[in-house]
Amino acid sequence: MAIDYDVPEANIVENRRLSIVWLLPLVAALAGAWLLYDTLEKRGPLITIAFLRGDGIEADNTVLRYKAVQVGRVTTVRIADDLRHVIATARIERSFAAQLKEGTRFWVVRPRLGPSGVSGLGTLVSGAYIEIDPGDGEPESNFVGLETPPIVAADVPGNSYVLESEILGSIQAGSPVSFRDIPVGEVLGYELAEDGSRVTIHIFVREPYTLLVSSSTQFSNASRINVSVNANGLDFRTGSLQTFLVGGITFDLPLGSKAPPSPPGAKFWLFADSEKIGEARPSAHEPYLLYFEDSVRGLNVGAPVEFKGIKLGSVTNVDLEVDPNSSDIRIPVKIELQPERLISASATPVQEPNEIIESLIAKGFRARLQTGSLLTGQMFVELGFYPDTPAGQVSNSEGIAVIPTIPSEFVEIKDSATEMLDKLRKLPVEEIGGHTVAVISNLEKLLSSPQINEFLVSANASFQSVKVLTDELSAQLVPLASQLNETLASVDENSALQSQLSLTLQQVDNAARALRTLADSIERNPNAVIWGKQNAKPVTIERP
Amino acid sequence: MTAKKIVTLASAAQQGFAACEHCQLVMRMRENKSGGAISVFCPRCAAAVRFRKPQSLQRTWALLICAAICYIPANLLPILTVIQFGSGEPDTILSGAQHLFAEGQWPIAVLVFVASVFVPLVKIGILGFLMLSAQAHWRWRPRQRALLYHIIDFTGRWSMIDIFMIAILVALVQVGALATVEAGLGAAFFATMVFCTMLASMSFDPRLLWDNAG
Repeated sequence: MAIDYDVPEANIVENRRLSIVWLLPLVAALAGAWLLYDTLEKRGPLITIAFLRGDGIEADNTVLRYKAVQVGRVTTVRIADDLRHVIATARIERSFAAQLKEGTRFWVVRPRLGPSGVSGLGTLVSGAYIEIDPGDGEPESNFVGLETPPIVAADVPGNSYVLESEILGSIQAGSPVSFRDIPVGEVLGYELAEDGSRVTIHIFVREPYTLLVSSSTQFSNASRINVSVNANGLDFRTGSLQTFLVGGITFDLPLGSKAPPSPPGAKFWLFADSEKIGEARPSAHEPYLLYFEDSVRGLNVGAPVEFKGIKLGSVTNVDLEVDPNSSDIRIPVKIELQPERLISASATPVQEPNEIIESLIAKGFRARLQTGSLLTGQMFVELGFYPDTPAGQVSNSEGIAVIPTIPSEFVEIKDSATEMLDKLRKLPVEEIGGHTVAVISNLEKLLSSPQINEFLVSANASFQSVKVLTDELSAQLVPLASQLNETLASVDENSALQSQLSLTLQQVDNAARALRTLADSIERNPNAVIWGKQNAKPVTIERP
Repeated sequence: MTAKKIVTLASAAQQGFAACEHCQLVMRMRENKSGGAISVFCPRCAAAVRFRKPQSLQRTWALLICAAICYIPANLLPILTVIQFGSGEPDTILSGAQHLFAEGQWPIAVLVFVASVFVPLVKIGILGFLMLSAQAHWRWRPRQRALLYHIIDFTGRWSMIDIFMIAILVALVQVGALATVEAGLGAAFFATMVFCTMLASMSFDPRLLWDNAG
């Protein structure tokens, strides 16, 4: 073979050309880099949400959703340092992170039974998740989660209003608000007013029904059952079954109302039921002060304040006030009026209630105590116009307008009696006495005069003649009497007159007996006078 | 026969002999007299015959680097999502092994971990070491190194068991809302990684380990 020959070896140069296989790691590296970039790009900020309880929240498992679309995932769940909250840390997708503002609300969706039905049944199988409702405000990353879902999502167009009521009734958050039985909104929540005097209820009305809410709109509680008896028979009225179960509010707009829609947050009065709308409109309780000098015995807190028999308000407080300087004692009575009831017919209701009252006072508007019941002695305050009485000083006391008072009718009578006595006292008694003495002395003179003596003599003669006449008369009277005796004797014992008389007497006796029985039974059952005889035993009157 | 004796021998290539890689027939390589490009075939099995695999080191390096790159996302990305009753968590290889371990099935957990995490890593490492030793003309224990190569060449295909399992699960478990199995992106990277290591061990010419032994 060629091995033995001395032949130069060929230069074998290794192929330095890059193999096409190098594309593979290049592609793999590019794919890996893109994946890394994609992951980091989608990776949004971390936020924390504080909940009272951690029901259903699991690290790495619970997702955050907005409109059922996943926008994040809970990464850790831990207990807050103060042991009061559960703090869930979640990673939000970058695309959604900009939506997280101060007003954003978070709540855990789990199966719930609420006023509007059953919700969140799907989470029985899929597990709980956290729902997001975006809000306004500054960007924020630490939130406090809601324990119950919000009634109305932030993106539902509509307005919220404030209702005031004396009692809450069965209204609760989520109760429906309806207009002519069409559901148009929900009750958002309620709270007690600061002074505890009434309940403030927040409601939400969806568009376009907000156009129906104006100053003449009347809200009433729909959750009552109205049973009334009228000429047509028994009238039974109730709202929908839902309002019956969970309460509800209905409102109505009087026909022909042209008031512009109210702005969001406007205040309304919630009537106890739709029947009461016409009766009272106690939207504004204006306090007034009355100062009485007379006794207010019988005037209790809650006593009505009436004007021409229409209740305008009530007494809220009765006090006793002593002026330390002048030692004057007066009784300030605080009342609450609904002045707009008085002025609702007015063409210009724009005035302040106090101004109206002031102008009324100038026209003679006064208050006085009246006896409501003669039996119980209850008093009430009557308002009325007495233009002839002095207005006194119309002043404000601690910012409360004062309505001038006039004395009550009873006091007036008392006053006029005193006046009469005064007049009597002023009679010129001594003068009258002097006159009397003069009259008597004149009389004396008259008696001692000779004419009187003559008169007496002639009178004596007249008496003598009268005596003679009487003697004659008595002589004739004796035969008359014996004749009368005979007549009486002729009235026989068995005569008809006699028997009739005895029958009459027997009947009188029976009547007396019946009267005694009646008296006895009344003594036993005094109420028998009113209710009649209790046992139907017939009264038998025995004849003797 | 000692190692010393072997290293003193001239290699077959130096003497103009080559072996068919498929049927192991040893043949004499003819000189190229035409001057044109030639291809050499085995006279018995008609397979292409070469003294050494062309561009063996370069190709192996490329495939090995590709496998190493793919190894990272294959372990970080989820390979499997089991959705039961509408809810399910994507699992990576490691979290899957963790779940199995937590459920008390530790033999399977160990199997998954060894076959899917440990073996590919060891394979890439050993192949890299062999490549370096071949490139640096090491003379250190060529027999043991050849043995290492044969071991990784044999075990490499078993790493595909994960991919087969995922493929079977995805195909079988499609019960609609009750349970569904979905393959993740990690599975694709894992398959690519295993594929690349197999190609790399194929393109590596173990004869290179012996070339510098003498």
